[in-house]
Amino acid sequence: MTSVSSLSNYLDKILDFSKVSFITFAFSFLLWVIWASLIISSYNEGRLPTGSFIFLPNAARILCICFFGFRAIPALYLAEILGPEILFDNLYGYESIITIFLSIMAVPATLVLLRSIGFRFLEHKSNFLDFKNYKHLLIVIIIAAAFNSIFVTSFLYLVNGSDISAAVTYRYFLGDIIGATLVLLFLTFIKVAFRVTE
Amino acid sequence: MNKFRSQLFDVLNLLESIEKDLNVIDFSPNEKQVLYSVAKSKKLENNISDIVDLSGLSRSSVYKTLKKLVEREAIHLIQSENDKREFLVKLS
Repeated sequence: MTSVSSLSNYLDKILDFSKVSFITFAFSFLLWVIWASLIISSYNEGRLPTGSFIFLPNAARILCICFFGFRAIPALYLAEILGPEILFDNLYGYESIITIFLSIMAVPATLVLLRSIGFRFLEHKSNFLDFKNYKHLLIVIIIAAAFNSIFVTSFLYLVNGSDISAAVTYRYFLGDIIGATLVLLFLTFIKVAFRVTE
Repeated sequence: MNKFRSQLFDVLNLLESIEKDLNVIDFSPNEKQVLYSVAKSKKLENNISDIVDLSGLSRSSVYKTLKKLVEREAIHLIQSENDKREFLVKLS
């Protein structure tokens, strides 16, 4: 009897993980494709890549990890790798395997940092950081953007030998914040529009 | 409720908190009707009778709705200079 219930619990967990992975993958992949079409058209027109000022996929990283927990990480990684590697035929080069991982890990690093200085979240009671309140989520967005810009540009400079200016780090930082904020606003307006239509 | 569904509800709650602060909560049909009537009007300031005519709603509905719209700060009422008993409606 106990083994049946433990098997049922195990299957429930697998089903839950599958749902989280599917939603995360679909959301992140969709945002990445929208964002990539922006950046590629601006490259083709010889303009400054507007896409990196508005990095939409950052919203998927923030929302999925904050709400679904660290189990969303594999699907996020897969979605962000598949886009540049398969759809756009190795858009960034092979170092993206590491830079994408570093970018995604900026969110757990932020949560771990906040937890280490006393904030509580991902728990059912006495949450100090309540992600249902967007102001709390903004703290995560800003710190994760700082971590991401530092992690990725440090990797590109120290390991890959790329010439990275402070302007690039600043652009990554702002791009992450603007991208995540725009997606949140867009989702809010979609929700309002959907309810009005209903 | 399973964990996945409750997490999705949490995301909806997040969007709701943004919605509240942006003040884009949907208006009731009467509120929309009155607000659009004020917005569509060629005059900058309308009296209550103008809005009753434009909206097609009853006078009492217009009064109640105007009160709600003032609370939501969508419109504001100003006293007419010609007739102190009359209020004019202006978009905020």
